Parts: sequence; structure tokens; C-alpha cells
Amino acid sequence: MTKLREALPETLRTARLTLAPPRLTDLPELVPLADNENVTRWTTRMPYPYAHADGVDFVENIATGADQKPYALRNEDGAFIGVASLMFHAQLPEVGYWLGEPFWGRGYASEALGALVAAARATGLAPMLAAKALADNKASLRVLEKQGFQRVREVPDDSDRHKGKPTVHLELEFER
Amino acid sequence: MSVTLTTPHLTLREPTMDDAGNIAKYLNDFAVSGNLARVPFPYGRADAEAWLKTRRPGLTPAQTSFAIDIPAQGCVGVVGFHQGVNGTVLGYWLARPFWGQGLMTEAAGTAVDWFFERTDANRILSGLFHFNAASLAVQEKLGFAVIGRSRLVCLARGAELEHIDTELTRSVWKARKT
Repeated sequence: MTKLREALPETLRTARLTLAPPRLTDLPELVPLADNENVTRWTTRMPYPYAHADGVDFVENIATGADQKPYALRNEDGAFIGVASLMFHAQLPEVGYWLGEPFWGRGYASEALGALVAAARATGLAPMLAAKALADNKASLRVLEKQGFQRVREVPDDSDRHKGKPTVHLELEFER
Repeated sequence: MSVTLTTPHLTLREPTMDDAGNIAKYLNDFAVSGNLARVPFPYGRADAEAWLKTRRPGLTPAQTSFAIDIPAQGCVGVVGFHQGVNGTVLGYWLARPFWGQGLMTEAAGTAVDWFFERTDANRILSGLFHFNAASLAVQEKLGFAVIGRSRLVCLARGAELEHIDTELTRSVWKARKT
């Protein structure tokens, strides 16, 4: 999947959003938005509390590693609003995202995810994408299903944070 | 990867959670954090613990940080590498009570040797804010040369400042070793 990571564009644009590699200059906006349990509790790995050092680690280590390709999301006002990523730790490339709470409910997640799915598809290197969301995370499931992801199973989660909680696995198969 | 490097006056070792107290005490000093780009001020134990949690196993040499440990004091600073936009960057700090004894040069020189020996990188980047003459002196002693100026955010000061960019090439490093 290294090839897929390298084939993805550096930046993506949608009607309202710019998706670009996360930079240290994002941190003054990113850290306060990430340091919110309403955000982190839906994620598998984001630490809470989320300190500046976690932001530096994300930009310098996680974002540059082979395991994922995250994009910093900025909206039409130039404000940092969240992160959308393709992750390569499982068999299928997996999409994931988080949005700062002030930016919920405006369709930004669908827009970012749409761009990510289109970019992955355009590489021709991924026949399918996967996604996961807690069964309680109705908003995220709606966003994923709107992009064409279909539920394939609901199983107890095996991550430390969500151990045992029902989690919906979804897949999106690209048409040939 | 757990590496320990020993020099005449200090040991460079993996930072551990036990260092949180010392790191919080010494970095909560504007004379130190005000020279650094990525350290907030005030700096508390939670900041130190959050940073230590990011020092997980499996980091590459270009992501490695060492605690600077001196006998009977424990961790009195950090020297390490991080991935910048243009390549691997050397960064470091030393607690104020230990300034002026050549410890930073000894620690940074040891880390630089380790990095060039462990990798095939052809250069290490570093730099300092324009007012930091002591740090420039450390880098010049190690063979770093000024390659330009840039603007860089200093988190502790909450401002973008003039930054002097430096580099040490492998060829200069090698020439000075022989």
C-alpha cells in the first residue's frame, strides 16, 4: 500500500474545502479542537487530553509514516476544521476523519470524504475501501453511507478505547 | 529501539515517564522554552507526560530523542531529531543550571555522530532564533554552517520570529572526525 500512499495527491480541493498535508502551523487551531472528548471519544487512537506534544507527534511522526496519509482540512474561510485520512494498517485501505465540534452539521465531513474517496479511486490502486464507526455514531454512519459505503458486519470492537462496543464495519467497492 | 550513549560527563538514553518531573521543572523556564520553536509556556507536568507518551517504540533515527542524563541529577535536557519539511532536524535544550559547562556541545555532538553512523543521510538541518548566540556557538563547534534565514513560530512567545537556518553535511562531519 506504499504505492497507494505515494500515488495520492499532496492537496485536494472541493467546493468549500482544501485538503493538504498537516503542518506545524496547523497546531494553534488543531490542538484546541482535538482536545475535546466529544471528538476523541469517537476515535480509536486520538489521545485525550490532547496536548501540544500530541499535535507535534501527529504532524512529524504519524503523518509522515507509511501507515497513513492524513489531510488537514480547511474551509472556505481558511479555518482549520479537522483531519481526513486514508490508513494502511489493515488489509484494505481505511478512511477515517474527525471534525472540530464547532464545524459539525455543515456537510464538511461528506465533502472531505467524497474528495478522499475520489482520490483513492483515481489512483487505480485500490479496488475497495473500508471504514469503521461505532454503532452509536449515527452521524458518521450517515456520512459514510452517503458516500456509498455499505455495512458488511457489526462486531464488538477490539481497540483499547472501545473494547467490546458494537462497531459497524463498512466497505465501498469501486465499480470497474 | 533503545540506545544508550555514554560520554565523559553524561549519558544519552531513552526518555521515560520518570523524567516527567524534571522535564516539567526545567522547561517551565522562559529562558529555555523561549528559545525553542515547539514548546509551550507555561509548561506543566501534563505537557511533559504527553510528550513522553509520544516517545513510543519503533521510532526511526530521524524521530529519536535522547534524555541528557548527568550523574545524581537525572534528566537535565533533551537532544534529538525530528522530521521537518526539508529533512531531518536536530533540536535540543539544556536546563538553565547546567549552562556554560560545554554539556550541550558534548550531548549534541554525540547525537550527531550517532545519527550519521546509523543512517545514510547526507545532512542534518538545525537552526536557532536570531538572538540565541549560545546555541549558534554550540552548532559552530559541531561544524554546522548558516545556510539562510526564515520565519518560524516560537510557541512559547506566541510569535513568528527570525530564524537562522543551519546545516551540517556528512562531508563536513566526516572531515572533522579525521
